[in-house]
Amino acid sequence: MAISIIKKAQLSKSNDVVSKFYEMILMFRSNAITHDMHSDLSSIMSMITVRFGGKVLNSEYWGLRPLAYEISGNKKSHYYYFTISINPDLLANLKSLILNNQNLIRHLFLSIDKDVSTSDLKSKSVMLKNLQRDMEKEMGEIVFNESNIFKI
Amino acid sequence: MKILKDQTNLPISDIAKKVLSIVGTQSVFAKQNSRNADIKKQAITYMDIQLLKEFLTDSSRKIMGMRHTGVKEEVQQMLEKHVQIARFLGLLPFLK
Repeated sequence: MAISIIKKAQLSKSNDVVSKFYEMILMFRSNAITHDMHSDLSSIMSMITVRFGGKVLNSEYWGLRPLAYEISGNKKSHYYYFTISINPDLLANLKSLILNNQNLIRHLFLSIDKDVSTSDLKSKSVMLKNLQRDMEKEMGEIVFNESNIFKI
Repeated sequence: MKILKDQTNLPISDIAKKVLSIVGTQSVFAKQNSRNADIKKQAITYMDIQLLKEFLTDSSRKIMGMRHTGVKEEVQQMLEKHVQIARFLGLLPFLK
């Protein structure tokens, strides 16, 4: 995995600029080993928090979902969803780090509007709520313990 | 048909009165077109796949027009944007 080097001049500018909120979605291969995925994710999270001076507000695992069409020979993929706050100038460095990863099929960054409060960003996403509702319909009531929640 | 009702001075035949009692003055698709009028802009996300599937055609998975969806102009723009995101992530299929 390649590490992009940032100059000191860029870092000094980053303190002045206000960071923005982003949604980050990562799609891993269906064959990927869980240990490798978690090590990749922890490296990405550490780069965001330590090197770029950002924050990770929410992190979710949507599970191994079937794809609507084949993407590079995969019929299923692991979905990870994050809400982060990061300086927009340093976002290109983060993307270059993600592109070099071989386990990742696809990634997407979406900017969030300013009107949304931080409490809403930390709450569960619509996808996870729907998944929980569908599981309850089939299996009965399920209690989500701390062990079910994805953490790094 | 509305004009006939308003102009009370004009004589209406008995057959026309019977027809008016059976057939309403509204269009047949009025109820069908206004079923999604309450949906707000914030409710539409690429994560809610079941909601997005209602606005796609069954045969070829195209996005339906505003005449058929019955939503406002703002909502239709958001819908088109979020369907494209969902297609990119493999949650919804492209055209069959």
